[in-house]
Amino acid sequence: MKNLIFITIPELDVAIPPPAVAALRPIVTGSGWDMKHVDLNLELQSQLDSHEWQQLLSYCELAKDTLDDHLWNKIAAISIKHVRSHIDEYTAILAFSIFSIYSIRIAGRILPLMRDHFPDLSFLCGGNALSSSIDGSKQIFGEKILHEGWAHNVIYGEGEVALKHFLQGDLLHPGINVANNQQIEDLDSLPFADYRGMDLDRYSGKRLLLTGSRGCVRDCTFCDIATVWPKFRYRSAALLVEEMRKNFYETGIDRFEFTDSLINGSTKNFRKFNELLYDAKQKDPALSGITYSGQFICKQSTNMVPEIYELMHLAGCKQITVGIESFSEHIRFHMRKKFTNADIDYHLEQCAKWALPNVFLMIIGYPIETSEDHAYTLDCLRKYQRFGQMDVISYLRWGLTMHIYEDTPLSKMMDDLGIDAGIHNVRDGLYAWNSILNPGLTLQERIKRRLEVHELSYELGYKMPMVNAELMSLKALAEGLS
Amino acid sequence: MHKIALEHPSLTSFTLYADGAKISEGRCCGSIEIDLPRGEIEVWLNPMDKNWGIVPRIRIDGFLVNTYLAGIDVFDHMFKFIFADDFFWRYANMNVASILSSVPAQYRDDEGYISKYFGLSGANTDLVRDIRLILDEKSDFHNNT
Repeated sequence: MKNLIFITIPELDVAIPPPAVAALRPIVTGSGWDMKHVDLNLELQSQLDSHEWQQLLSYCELAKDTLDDHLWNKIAAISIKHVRSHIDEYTAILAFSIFSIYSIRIAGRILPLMRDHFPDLSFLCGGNALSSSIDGSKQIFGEKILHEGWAHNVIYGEGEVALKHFLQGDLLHPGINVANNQQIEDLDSLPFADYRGMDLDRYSGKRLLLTGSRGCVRDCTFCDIATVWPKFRYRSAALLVEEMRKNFYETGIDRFEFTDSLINGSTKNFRKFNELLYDAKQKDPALSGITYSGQFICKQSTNMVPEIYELMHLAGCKQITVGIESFSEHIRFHMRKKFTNADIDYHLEQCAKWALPNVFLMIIGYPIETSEDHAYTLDCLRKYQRFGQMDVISYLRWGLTMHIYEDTPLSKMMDDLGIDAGIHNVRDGLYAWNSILNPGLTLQERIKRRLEVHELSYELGYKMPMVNAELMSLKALAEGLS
Repeated sequence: MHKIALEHPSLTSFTLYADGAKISEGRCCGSIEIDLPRGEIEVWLNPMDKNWGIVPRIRIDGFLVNTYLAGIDVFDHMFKFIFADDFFWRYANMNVASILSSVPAQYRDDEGYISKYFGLSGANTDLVRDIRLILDEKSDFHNNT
């Protein structure tokens, strides 16, 4: 039986098995192929020292423009050796998953390297990043891959249906080599994720990924999710619970993390999911340890009624990640987040009542942020301190200050906001923009504000992941200031 | 005044003591919210049909607490704990200690791992100072040219 080697590359979370592998395995095996997984992301993380790994991440995350030659040579050697060790006489395709824009740079180095070393194999690329661009050109990365000859074929957008056609030899299916991909309407028609065959012991997070929906019910100005999934589509609650049950019994892992942009996009379906999961636990005590986490949107109290928060607690919700982004209401409404300060207070009150930990995603330096907004941010950190102490605000994620992606609504509002990023290079263009309508909000000022929220958050006892790594990236940004 | 709320379907009455003195008592039907004074707190519970061993949900100022993190000793007929001004800080510190104890053995000394996956990082004071120095130098350079 011919086999396809599915290769995942940085940057991905090393603690969890890549979900694309589990999602596509039943497609590959169902098409009569065998599939192996090579996790280059994990392999590099385990073989590079922490400084080298951090350098690689900074490069991937566009915070650092160059990769030291010595480090690249080491990465190349590890990559070739590891991939070669999986290739056998039956291997026909090397399939690369290029997950996000943070994978684009390293993909642009690894793909030609692999082509040089394995010229007899067919190369296929897929992943969200293929529809994106980071160099300011109109050429999306998938087109660049084909133009440069880094792969023979690419698949744009969701892979399940297109990959099936590809493996059957139908290269004319939408999304194969042409960015005319169509969003899958019926997610319930897709097979369950299959984690068998993956070495799950290598992933320290001990949790499995689960997809409940694709797309988003919002159109936030800073987010490009709509370019990947223009419509919000969700799976039935009953199938989600059934998939959790199946994968729990097959792997023994009882922690699930949703890949969704938001798990409560359909409040009705989310409520049903919690009801069914709680019911399943009541009927089968072996499932009682199942927990879940995922991204969540703050909504009005009339929509997310108190009973739903109680059901989340009963069903085993262990963490929700919420894009609060700014404590200033006028900024959030400019972002199109569509929830008020009162909605945040209500949400926190309910989460406190049912011990539901939150990760708050925050943005420092949104283009209309004023010094008054920044002062209000600091006030809110003090106001919500108790929620941090009681682990309701479990983590704060401040990131690297506001950066503007291609293909986001914000990138199309540059003139309205008086934003100029044209004089900078690629990396700076993302971070070092200026606005003539808010001239005080320079990158220098944004970094200063970022340092202030870090210091106050730490003083007040909030937990913040990846502080050192983010501060190192901020330092690199500061050093690059003109 | 801080509040403590108890919730269990079998709860019929309670008595709250602080430092040995009876502060409040009363009947209830499944749930009750009462004032919580500072001190060594004991809450005696009377469940329906003398069905001892119930563990009610306990909320302090609206926060559902983990009894371990809150330092609450639970017995068949009562629970007790210290409620002081630093209760919420102690809860947070217990949570951090609990998180650290759950770090896989191979990562116990890996600050990057603990920071990334458990959110526990130092103040990074030196790094913050370095960044400020860079910003100041850039600012001086800009002002002088």
